[in-house]
Amino acid sequence: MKNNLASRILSATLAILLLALTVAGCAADKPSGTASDAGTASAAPEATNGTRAVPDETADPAPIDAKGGNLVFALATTPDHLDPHRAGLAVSTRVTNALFDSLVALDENGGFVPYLAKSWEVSDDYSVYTFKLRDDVKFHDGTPFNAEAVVFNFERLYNPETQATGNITSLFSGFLSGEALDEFTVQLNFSVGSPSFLTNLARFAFVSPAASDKYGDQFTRNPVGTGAFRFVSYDEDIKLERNPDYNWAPEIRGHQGPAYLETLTYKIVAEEATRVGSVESREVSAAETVPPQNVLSLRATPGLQVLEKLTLGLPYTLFYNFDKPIWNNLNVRKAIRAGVDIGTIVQTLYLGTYPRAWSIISPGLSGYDASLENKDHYDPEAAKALLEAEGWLVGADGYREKDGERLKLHYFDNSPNREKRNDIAVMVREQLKEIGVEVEVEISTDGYNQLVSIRGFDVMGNSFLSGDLVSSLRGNFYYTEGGFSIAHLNDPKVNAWIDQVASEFDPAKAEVIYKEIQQYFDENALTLPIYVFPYTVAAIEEVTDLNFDFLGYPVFYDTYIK
Amino acid sequence: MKKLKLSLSDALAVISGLFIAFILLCAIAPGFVAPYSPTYMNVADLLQAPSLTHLFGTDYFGRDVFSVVVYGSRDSLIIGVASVLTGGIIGGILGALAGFIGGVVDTIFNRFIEILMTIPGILLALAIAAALRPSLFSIVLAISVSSIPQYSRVMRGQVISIKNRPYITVSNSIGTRGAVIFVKHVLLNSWSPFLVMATLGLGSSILVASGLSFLGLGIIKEIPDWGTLLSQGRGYLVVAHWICTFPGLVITAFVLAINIIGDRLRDVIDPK
Repeated sequence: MKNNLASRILSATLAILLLALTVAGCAADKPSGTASDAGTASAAPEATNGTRAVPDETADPAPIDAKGGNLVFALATTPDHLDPHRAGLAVSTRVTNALFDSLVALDENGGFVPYLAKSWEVSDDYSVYTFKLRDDVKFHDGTPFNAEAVVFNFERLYNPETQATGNITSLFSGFLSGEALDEFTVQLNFSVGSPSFLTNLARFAFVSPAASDKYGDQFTRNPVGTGAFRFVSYDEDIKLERNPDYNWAPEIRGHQGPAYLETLTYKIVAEEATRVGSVESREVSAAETVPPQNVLSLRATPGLQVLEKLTLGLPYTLFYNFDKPIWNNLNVRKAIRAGVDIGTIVQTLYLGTYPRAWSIISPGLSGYDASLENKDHYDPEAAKALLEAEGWLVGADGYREKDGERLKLHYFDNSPNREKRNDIAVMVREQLKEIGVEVEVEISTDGYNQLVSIRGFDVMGNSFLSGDLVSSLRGNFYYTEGGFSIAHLNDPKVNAWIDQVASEFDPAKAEVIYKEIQQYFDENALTLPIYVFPYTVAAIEEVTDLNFDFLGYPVFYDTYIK
Repeated sequence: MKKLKLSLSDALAVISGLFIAFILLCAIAPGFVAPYSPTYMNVADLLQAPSLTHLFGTDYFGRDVFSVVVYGSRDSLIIGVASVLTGGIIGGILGALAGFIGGVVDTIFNRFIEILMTIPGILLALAIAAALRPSLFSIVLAISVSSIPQYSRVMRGQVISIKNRPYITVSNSIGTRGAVIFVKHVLLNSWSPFLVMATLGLGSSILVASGLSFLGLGIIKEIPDWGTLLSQGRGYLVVAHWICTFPGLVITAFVLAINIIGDRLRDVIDPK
C-alpha cells in the first residue's frame, strides 16, 4: 500500500500532463497576442507572449521622411514561384505585383490605363495589338525595358523550358508572334481575336531578359523586373526594398516617383489565429485573410484597422449534379432553393462580414445583373408544397419519399473548412431537414476520395476568382466541354450564350448577354449562389494607403507607415 | 493518519465514479440531461458567453454547447469502448496464445509486435484513419490496431509468468488437456492486470479519438463528438473560447476520472 498514493499521484499527474499537452497542442495552432491563457502563448513558437506594451521595432519605425517606413506583411500561404510566368497561385501574385509591371493597368472600374505602354492600337478584329512603350523604363539590373524585351517575354512564356503556368499561358491562347517595330514600338499578333487580351495583359508581368538568361530556371529565386520594389532575399521571409529609380507608375496611383516604403517584407504565417495575433501584437504590420469572427473583434480594437476588397469572378456557389435525374425537375430545384435560407447562413457564419451572392457572377464585374439583388427565394412552406406536388410525401421518420425511395442528397465538400464551407453544409442540412429532405454531408480533402465523390455527389460547392468573365464561365464551370462542366450542366442555351459572349467585342452587347445568362440561371434555379469572398487585410493603424487593385491584389506602392 | 489517507482517495474515487456515471447517463439518455436539442440553431443567440440559460455558452451556429457536449458523449464513448474491446480482445488473445504456446509462434509474434511498436500509435492511427474514408468504424479500427501491441505484450508476459507456476506443471503432469489448462488455469488467472489496463485504455482511446477528430480525420455527423467540437471551435478561441474550453475540460475530467478508477481497480484486484 505504501507506493499506492505516490503512484496514484504520479498517474494522475501524468494524465493531467497528457491532457495539458493535448490542449497545448490545440492551442499552439491558435495562439493569439491577446490570449489571456498563458499556456497558449508560451506553447506557440511564434507567439509573442501577448505583450502589447513593447511594439516590435520593424512595425514602428521612427519616421525621418514625411512618408516612408518598413512594412511586414503576413501571407496565408507560401508562394509557389516568384517568377511571374511560373507562379500559379494568387498568393505569389501578391508578391510579384510589387516586383514587376505590366503594359496596361486596370482602374477601379476595369477600364484600361497606360502603364509601361504609353498608348496602344487594336485592330478591328482584335487580333493585332500595337503598343507604344515608355522610353524611360529600366529593369532592376539596369538593362532597358524596350520592344525587344516585350517580344522576349512572350517568347519566354511559350518556351517549354520556362515551365510557365497554364493560368498565364491560357490568357493569351492564340498568340502567334511579337514584333519589335522600332525600339519602343511593339506589335503582338494573335490567330484568333479576343476582346479580353487587353484585360489579361494587365496581369502579365515583364521580366528582365538579361536576368532570365543569366539565371535560367533559378530566375524564380532571383526575380528581376521593373517594379517599384526590387528583390533582396528569400530565406524564411521574402525581403524586398524600394527601387530608387522607379518613375513609371500608372497615373491611377496616388503619387509618382519611387515608392514610399523603404522595405517590404513578406512573412508566411499559415495559421489563421497566429497571423491575426501577430498583427495584434504588432509583430507584423499587416496580415491577409482574416476570419470573420476576428474581423469584428479587430475592428473594435483601437490601434488596428481592417481593409477589404470584394473578389471578382464566380462567387461561392452550390452546384447540383445534373447527371442525377432528380435535378432535372424544375420544381424540385425550386423547392430546394426555397428550403435553404441563404441569408441566415451568410449572416450567421460570416457575421455580416461577407456579402451574400445573388447571382452566378460577382458584383463589380461589368455585366453583373443588380436586379437580382434582394430577390430572396426562401419560403419553406412553398418548398413543402412544391415537393408534395411532385409526389414527395413525408414518411414515418419525417423525411420525404416517393415510390419507396427517400429524398436524400449527398452533399460533398472538399475544403478543410476554408471560408467555413463545412459549416455551410451543416446549416444546409439542418434547414433542408425542416422541409423533409435528408442531407448526408461528406467532407474530404483527400484526392482519391474527391475523384470518387465528384461523380457521386448531389450538391457540391465551388468558386472561381478572375476578372475575366469569359474564362470564368467557360473554364469548365458552366460551359460543357468534352461532356463535362463542374456544374454538371449541359444546357445548349447556356453554351450558346457563352460562345456568343466570347466573341462579342462590344461591351454593351456582351453585358446584355451576361444579364440574360444570369436571369436564366435564376429563373431555372440551376445553382445556389451563397457568398462573395472579400479579401481582407488586418493592419496596425499606422499603415496608410494600402490599396487594392481591380482584381483585389494589394498595392504597396502608395503605402507608408505614419 | 492512515484513515485520513484512505478517505481522501476514497472520496476521489467516489467523485470519479459519480462523474463517469453522469457521463454514462448522458450517453444513454442525452435528452434527459440536455436542456436543448443539439441541432437546434438559434441564430439570434450566436456566440453567447456561458450563462444560466446556456451553461457552456453557444457556438457559431447558435447551438447550446452544453447540449452538444451531452449528446456528443455518446459517440465519444462508443469510440472509446469499442476500440478498447476490439484492440483488447485481439491483442489479448494474440498475446495469450503466443505466451502459452511459446517457441517459434512466440518468436514470430514478438517480431510482429516489435514492428508494430516501432510505429508510434498515434501515427499508425492517423495513417489508418487517413487511408480509410472517415467513419466511426475506421476511427475505431485505427485506434484498436494501434493499441494491439500494448495489450498483447501485457497478456503475454502475464501468461508466461503463470505458465511456469507449480500448479500448471502439476496439471500438466496429471494429463490435463492443453486447451483446458489454457482457458481454465492460465487465462482466468491472467486477466486482472489486463482489466486494469483496459480501463486505463478507455481513457487514452477517447484521447486519441479526440485527437483524430481534432486533426480533421473524424466524421461530420449531425452531432459532433468531443474532439470534433474542440477542432471546430478552435477558430473561435479568441472571440468565444467556451466552444473549445468546455469540451476540453469534459475530456480532461472524464479521462482523469477513468484513470483514478482504473488505479483504484488495480489496488483492489492486485494489492501488491
